[in-house]
Amino acid sequence: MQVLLFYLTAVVAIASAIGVIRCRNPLGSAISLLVTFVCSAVFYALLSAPFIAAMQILLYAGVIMALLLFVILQLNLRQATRSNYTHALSGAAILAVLAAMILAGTFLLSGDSAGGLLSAADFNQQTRFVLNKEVLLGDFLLPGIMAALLLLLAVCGAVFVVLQKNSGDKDQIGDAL
Amino acid sequence: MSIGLTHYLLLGAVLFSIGTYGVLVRKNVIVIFMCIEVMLNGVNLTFIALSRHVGNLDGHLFVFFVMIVAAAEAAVGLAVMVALFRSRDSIVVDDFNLLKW
Repeated sequence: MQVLLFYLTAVVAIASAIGVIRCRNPLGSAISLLVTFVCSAVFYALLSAPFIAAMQILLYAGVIMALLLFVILQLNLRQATRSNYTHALSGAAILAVLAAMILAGTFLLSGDSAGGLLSAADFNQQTRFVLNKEVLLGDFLLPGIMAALLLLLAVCGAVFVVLQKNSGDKDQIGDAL
Repeated sequence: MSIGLTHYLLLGAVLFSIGTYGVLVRKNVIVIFMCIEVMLNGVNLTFIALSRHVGNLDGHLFVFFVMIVAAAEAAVGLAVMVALFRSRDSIVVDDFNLLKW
């Protein structure tokens, strides 16, 4: 059952990841990306990481997707008159395949000697919930606070960049460019 | 037959490579951004699988922080895209060559 679920989700994930690249319309790419995110959440749930799966749905499929769709619709993109792709198709393909082969080779070589996954029961016994006072709220409290600060600063920066007053026709970023 | 660590690692590698290809090939900045998200997803999957393999939560924490940084990146990156579109009326990467030597 789990094997079937894995393969089914893997096929959908890869197909939708390819869809992100292949779609002509950015809106189609965004929808494909949404499917990829949901498939990733399924994998996290299969790997007994329910908190990360929930975060994936909330943060990626929720927040980032909403931002993406907002920007895509706001920019109201005209149909591209030129090609959607760069000229370096074959070079990029060679590079990507090379990267895949190197990664897969490394994983296969190291994975065989290291053995497989722990069973879900063993894993749950050995570990705690991520939001435990001894994990994220204990040892990793300072990185957590830093991450919160980073998010706050990012939002402030985003508002600052978008809300800059126009000086004449061009805004300040245009002048700086 | 059961699903092992290698299955998840290979899937992560495939997702990462697809994302790399998209980043190198596409011209639309928004699509490039989405391909970066696909790459991040591949890496996150690797982290979670290895965390289950090793039996501790370090991978989960890494993924947690990667997600936060991705959210921050989305906020800033999309704001920059809006600003660029206002000044240049385009979000095709070919139109932005000011840092080209």
